[in-house]
Amino acid sequence: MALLEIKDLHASLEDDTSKAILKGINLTINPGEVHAIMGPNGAGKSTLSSVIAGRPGYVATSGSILYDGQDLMDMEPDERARAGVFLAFQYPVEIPGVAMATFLKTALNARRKARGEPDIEALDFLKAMKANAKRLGVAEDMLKRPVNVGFSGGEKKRVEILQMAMMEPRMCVLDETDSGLDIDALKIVADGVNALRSPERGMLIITHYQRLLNYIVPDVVHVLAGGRIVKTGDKTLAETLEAEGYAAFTDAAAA
Amino acid sequence: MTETTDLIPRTLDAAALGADEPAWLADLRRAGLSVYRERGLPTVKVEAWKYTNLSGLTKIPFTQDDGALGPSDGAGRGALDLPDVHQVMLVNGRAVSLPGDLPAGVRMVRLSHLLATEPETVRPHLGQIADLSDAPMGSLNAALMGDGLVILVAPGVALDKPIHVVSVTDAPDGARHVHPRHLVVMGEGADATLVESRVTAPGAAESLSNAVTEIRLEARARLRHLRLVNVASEAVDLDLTETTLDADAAYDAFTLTLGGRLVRNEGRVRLRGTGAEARLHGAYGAAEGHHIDTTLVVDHAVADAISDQHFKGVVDAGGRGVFQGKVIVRRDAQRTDGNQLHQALLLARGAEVDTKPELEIYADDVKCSHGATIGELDPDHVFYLMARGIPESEARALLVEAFLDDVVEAVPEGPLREAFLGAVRVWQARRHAATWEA
Repeated sequence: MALLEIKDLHASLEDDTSKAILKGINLTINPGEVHAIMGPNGAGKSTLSSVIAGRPGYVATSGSILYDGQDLMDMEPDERARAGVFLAFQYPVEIPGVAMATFLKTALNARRKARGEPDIEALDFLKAMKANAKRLGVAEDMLKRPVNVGFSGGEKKRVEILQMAMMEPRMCVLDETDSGLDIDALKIVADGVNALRSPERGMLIITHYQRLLNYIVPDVVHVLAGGRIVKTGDKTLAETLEAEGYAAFTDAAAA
Repeated sequence: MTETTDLIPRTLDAAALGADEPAWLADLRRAGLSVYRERGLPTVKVEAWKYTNLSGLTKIPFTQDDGALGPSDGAGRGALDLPDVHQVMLVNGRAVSLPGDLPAGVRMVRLSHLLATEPETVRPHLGQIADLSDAPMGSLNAALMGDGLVILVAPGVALDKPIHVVSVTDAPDGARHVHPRHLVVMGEGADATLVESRVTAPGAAESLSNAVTEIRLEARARLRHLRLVNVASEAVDLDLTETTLDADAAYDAFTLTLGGRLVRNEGRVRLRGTGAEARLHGAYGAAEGHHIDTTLVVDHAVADAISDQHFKGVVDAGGRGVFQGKVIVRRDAQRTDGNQLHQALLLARGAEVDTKPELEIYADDVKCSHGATIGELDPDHVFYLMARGIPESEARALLVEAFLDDVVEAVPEGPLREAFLGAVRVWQARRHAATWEA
């Protein structure tokens, strides 16, 4: 069974359903596959990740998203997350007053509770958090601070991947994870993501630039323009795009 | 025509007040009676009571508490659960148990006992710290004052552990009004933590508690005064606490109020010694049918004193929060540092908050600020937490706790802070349960 199966997905903002942003997306991701979606600004990349994660304000007007055979549209964002869908945010929000470690533990325990498991042992949690922090170059004192507060852009992205590693999702959606990263941070983040590649796990990497894909090599590359997937190919498609730009596709989408 | 109740019967003879008490106390009662008779129950036309309407009290068939109740089954439910404290329980102001192992130099005594046995210990303070001539409800307390708790800490004595006063209001057989009167005197350099839990006895009828607490901090004394007000939805709970600080004394107050049909925490602080510091911090949660009023007056009478007011309110649909904060800086109070901030979080439509900051500054070299904000939970924050698998109700509860985080820091870290946070969590759980039932 496909891990994620998107069929003829149309989506818009809740406040303006007359204006479609996604206009018939079809996409199938099988376990073990890494797909990249590339596209220019305004193509609908972030709308796609928002609709998958269930962000309020976005609505699917038609079509379907099946995750592991379940209809995601029937699930609240927290249910989707507990079922194994993870969105690494393009702009992780700062939440003063909630300590990073408390947040992570609460999130992990919410998943465990849903599965009928007891809360994680404090020591096991600390150990896992420290190991992941080390691998991703996240200073331990950052985990004592409030969620994302005062973190640099690069630190926020690393912490998103740290959360991903802790949650052990089956379907990872990375929304412009490369934005705001310098080359060193990009490599660390990519290593962190690559370490999570596995035969059971699927990934959808949304990016504007090819750069990230040098480090996280995708199995399939899609070009999203004007709300549609206008071309699908292998990793060489990303290189072509980097060399030639999106103009050919945006023109095609507009036509 | 509806029958109305008067808290002081018209027939009460002023001359009969305090007949078997010392003359000075009888005078105090008569002065209170005269102010209350003149002003009556404050209406919303009185500026200090603009947002808090007591007129509903006249429809309740109250009788005055006779000071004879003992603790009922479950009395103290809803109070903080604190390990390792000197604990005392009051029922309608009267201590029903007093701790026996107080350190030397510390006394906790019933007011009635002191008045009967050594009135001269009380006389220099009772009615001397608080000026109630402009406080109609405070005057009513003076006229009708019942029993209360007196805490005396000798100069230089530091308490080994916190005092916890569990103050229960009970009305087992019909509506009662009760007027507890407390006194705290801390000698020079004394140091104590006083925790209060104000609760209602399970199953009590409607009640009005109209308490006055007078606190005197002599030079360099330090009092941490932490309060939980967790009264029943039928309870009206008015509290007026007046504190005076001598030079270099410090008063750190934190008040957490989580319910009550009508609660008013009125705090008056007089900084009358240089170098004195008063921090009045607190938080409240007002769910449906709850009205929580915080009214503060900080009076900088001398130079070089510091005051800081910071309150945060969480208000749900049908709940109402009131914050009135006043800072007075007298002509001689140069180099005053006075700050005030009220921040409210509205959880739903139909929540109401009224804020009134007032600065009265007569000195020219001062640093004073005031601010008020009203906001909602940020939907992006809620989504971020949900996107990590945290259910919405839990996400909101976590964010409410986060909102209160910086004021709760006024409570010393450890079991005390945990107890207050625990009370917030119980309140949130109850609120969510109510939402689901609806």
